[in-house]
Amino acid sequence: MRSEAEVNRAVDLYADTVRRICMVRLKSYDDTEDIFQTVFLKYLLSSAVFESKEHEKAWFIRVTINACKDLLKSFFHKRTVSLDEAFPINAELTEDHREVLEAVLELPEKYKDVIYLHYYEGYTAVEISKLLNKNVNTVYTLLNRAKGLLRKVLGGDDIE
Amino acid sequence: MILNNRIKDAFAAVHAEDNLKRDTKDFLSTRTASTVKSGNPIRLKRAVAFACLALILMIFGGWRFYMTPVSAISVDVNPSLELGVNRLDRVVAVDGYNDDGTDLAAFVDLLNLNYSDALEVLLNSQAMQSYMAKNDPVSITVIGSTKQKSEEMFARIRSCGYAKSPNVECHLGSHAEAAAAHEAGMSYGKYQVFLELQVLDSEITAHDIQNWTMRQIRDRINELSDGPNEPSSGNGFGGHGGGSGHGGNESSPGGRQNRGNN
Repeated sequence: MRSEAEVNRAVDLYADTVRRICMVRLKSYDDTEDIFQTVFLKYLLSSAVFESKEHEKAWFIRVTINACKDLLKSFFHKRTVSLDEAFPINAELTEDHREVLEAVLELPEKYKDVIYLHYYEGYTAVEISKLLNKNVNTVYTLLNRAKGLLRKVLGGDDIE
Repeated sequence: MILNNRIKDAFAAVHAEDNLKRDTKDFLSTRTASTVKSGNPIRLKRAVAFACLALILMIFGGWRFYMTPVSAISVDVNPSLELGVNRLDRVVAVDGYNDDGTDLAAFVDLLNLNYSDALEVLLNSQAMQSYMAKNDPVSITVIGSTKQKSEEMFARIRSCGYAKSPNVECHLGSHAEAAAAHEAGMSYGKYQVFLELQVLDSEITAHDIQNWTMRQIRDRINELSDGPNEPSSGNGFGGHGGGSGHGGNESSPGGRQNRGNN
């Protein structure tokens, strides 16, 4: 089991990453709180040794995505909430941020993870395929289709 | 601004709320405290494993304690069998020492009965009653784990109805003699009668009387005790040393008895 100091460091370092995945995948703040407790408790109890910061971050991303999947599969999970509940009501969000995030959140579930992992975290399709345990070609397909959908909503051809 | 940067900037603007981080840390702090209080999980696993091992040893030890006979009761008519009795006075082994004894042991279920009840069941069994009806002598020998235990078992058996029958004899035995009897391939009671016979007929061997019934041995003892003190080898019985006489032949002692009686 890890020390309290180690866990606090991890919360400070990876809370934003976990929060962004929760925003992409979940629909309520209550669920986000649950996921935070689940993910960091797993870290507390885990004896995994990380070779680097990148390795540790990938562990958090994978554990958070899996925890979200498990929560959504739960019978008792509250399935319908307003969009406002999902959004981080954050003073730093500009109109443009809101527009982009809303467009991402409106995407079908299967596209959200790849968009976040590719455009924010900077993972390649190969890395994403390993993280999500998907075929690389599937990841390429998901990325292309997600790009197309975002172009339609946000406009412009300048997405790479 | 290209769309890639717009997406990146939008996600970058999302941060975990301070209260979310604080609540998570508080939650983990309580979990750390409770886990520390409840001990190191590795130590806990070891403790659980140790407890399981102790439980298994206790069950195994208890089973061995129950299944280990410390006393014995030898019952000899023609069937010769021995009841192994554990520390709780329960019969945990029934060993036949001749064919009849083996058949009887298989036929009558005596296991886990109190030794006194087991004797009652045994002596009242149909198979045993056929011998009792012929007034065959029944020898019950008690070999307790200690002298005190032997006397306690002996007294208890003597007080039971079946022990009051005129053809039932009860004896006290010792572990050393029981070991010698087993080495000779006989139950304790039969071995004692064999020793009695051997005093009168020094050449007779355990092998010779292996298939004799208790009645046949007793009749032979009576014959040698009552008749003239002629050497056994010269009584026309066939010579024990050569093994061609009464060894293994149940009709031989009867023949001798008849001749002696005549």
